[in-house]
Amino acid sequence: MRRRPRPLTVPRVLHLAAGLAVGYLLVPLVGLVGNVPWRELPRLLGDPLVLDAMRLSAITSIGATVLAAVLGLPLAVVLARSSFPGRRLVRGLVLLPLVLPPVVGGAALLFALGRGGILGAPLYRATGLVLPFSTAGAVLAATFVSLPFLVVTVEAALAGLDPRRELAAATLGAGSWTILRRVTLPAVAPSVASGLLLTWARALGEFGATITFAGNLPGRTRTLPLAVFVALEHDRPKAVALGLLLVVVALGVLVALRGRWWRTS
Amino acid sequence: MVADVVTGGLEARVVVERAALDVALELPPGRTVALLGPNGAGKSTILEALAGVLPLDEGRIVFDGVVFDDAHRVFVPPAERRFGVVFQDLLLFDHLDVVENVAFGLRARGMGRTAARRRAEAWLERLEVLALARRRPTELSGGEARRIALARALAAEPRALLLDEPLGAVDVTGRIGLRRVLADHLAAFPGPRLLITHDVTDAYLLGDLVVVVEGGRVVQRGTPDDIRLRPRTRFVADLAAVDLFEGEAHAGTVRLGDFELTVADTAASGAVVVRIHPRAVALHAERPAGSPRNVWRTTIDRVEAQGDRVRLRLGAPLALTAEVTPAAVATLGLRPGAAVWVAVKATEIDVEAR
Repeated sequence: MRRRPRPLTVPRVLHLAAGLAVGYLLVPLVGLVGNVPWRELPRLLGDPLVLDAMRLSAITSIGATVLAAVLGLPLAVVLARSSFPGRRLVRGLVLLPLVLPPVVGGAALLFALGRGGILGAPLYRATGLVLPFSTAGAVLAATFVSLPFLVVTVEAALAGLDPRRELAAATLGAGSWTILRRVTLPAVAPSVASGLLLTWARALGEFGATITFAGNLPGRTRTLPLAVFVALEHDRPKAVALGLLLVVVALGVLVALRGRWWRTS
Repeated sequence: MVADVVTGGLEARVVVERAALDVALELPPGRTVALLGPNGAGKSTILEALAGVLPLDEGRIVFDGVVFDDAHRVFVPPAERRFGVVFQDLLLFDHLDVVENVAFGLRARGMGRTAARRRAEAWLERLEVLALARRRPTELSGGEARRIALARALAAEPRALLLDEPLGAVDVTGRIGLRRVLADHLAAFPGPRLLITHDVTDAYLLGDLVVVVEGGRVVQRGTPDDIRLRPRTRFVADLAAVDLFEGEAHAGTVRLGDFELTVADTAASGAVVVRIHPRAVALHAERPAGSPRNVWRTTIDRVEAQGDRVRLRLGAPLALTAEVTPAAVATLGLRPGAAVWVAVKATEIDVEAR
């Protein structure tokens, strides 16, 4: 069967430019995958230092996701459901880590939470806890950069919800906690899930704020992205192997998010 | 099984500036007040104010002697009012199945999951929809969803019922069953009940009292007969003055006491409501020989001028209303006591199962 020509609505030259963009996104992946030392892959990925980086990445990304959930879900609910002076300012502040260079974020964390920082100094005096250059510091750095993903996703979902359904729950005798727990959150559960996944993916890839605030200490703060950076200097095959690992994880995230964060139609 | 203590009525003056609304309402316990009015009259806004989902700008809401909203200092939140509300768009919880929707109110007040579900199932059974227990609201027809919304409101043991178009958007077959179920449960409910409708049949069949709202104001209130027989505005006259009779249908005829009407609907049988619009009633000086199936002779009881039209109340055997022009009144000599021939086409008579 002959396909009917579609009416032309997009200038042809745009198709060319779009093709270039796709190529630009694809070529680096091809470059990476083409350089994978498939034979040596098990050995490279089984290296104790690599396993350490994997363990650290798991700890910091999951820790950051949990912390983002604890801090970010209440913020998203408050931003979406109550009005207070300075709400627009707070919303802007939430977006800041998205546009701020992560290195600057890391430096800011250092000044705030470092041993001499405005919060770090009293914390050190009171508990002897030092956050920079610790695994906990790496978690905090990843939380700082990934928190916006959760807040923005969940707040947008809450804003799109019909508040009258919550009022209907109120007429049935439900208090604000019951409404939140049984009506509001279940209705936005898919968005919370995709927000958490995005947050986790961003935390997993975190580099700039981590290396600035938590340093690059093997076994303590050297996560997978930092390990890739270090390996590029003197062990290229290992860098490629780690890169492949992160690409696979990223593709997995996209598959899990399909139809939700990006449209599949 | 219903509200624990219900003694008081609901009194309110509802002023909502945004909706240009200012109405006073009195809802006595154990009675159904039908709030009748055209779309955009402010009926739903009244219900939302009473339910507490919309605060008053002016006025007050008093239930059983307790002030619920005085527009300034007092505002009792909806959760503490314990009014059973069916919203026009129902607002069922799509992420919960039907049983959990109906059990929601009980669980919100602290009843355990199993006990609340058992009570919810009992309500579903009473509303003849137990078979739908496991469905999601998105899998229900309009009539089914309305029954679930009613069950959800009733199961929460409310002190008053506020129903916004509970028969709206339901097809004819669903409507008949739903109206019967609604009539039963309204009659069994001891507290005040407010029923919003734009359908005069529903107001007439379900309401003990009718309040007519137009443009944010109450234009008339009274019993269904008051409204029907003495309409005070064009809207009420057009909508509410349609004559309604209850009778028994059989093979294309409807028996109304001693009188029998021929109707076009040959399928109807059993208890029915018959509706005849005053415009469908023709008056003649001589016996007409045309197509109308229903022709009889009567006398004129009363003549009411209404602007460019005249309403005539007809006497026995059927207390009908006829609407004619002032010119026809003059030509036919239509005055109280005058004899006329009445003709009603069978196709102009609406028949609906009761």
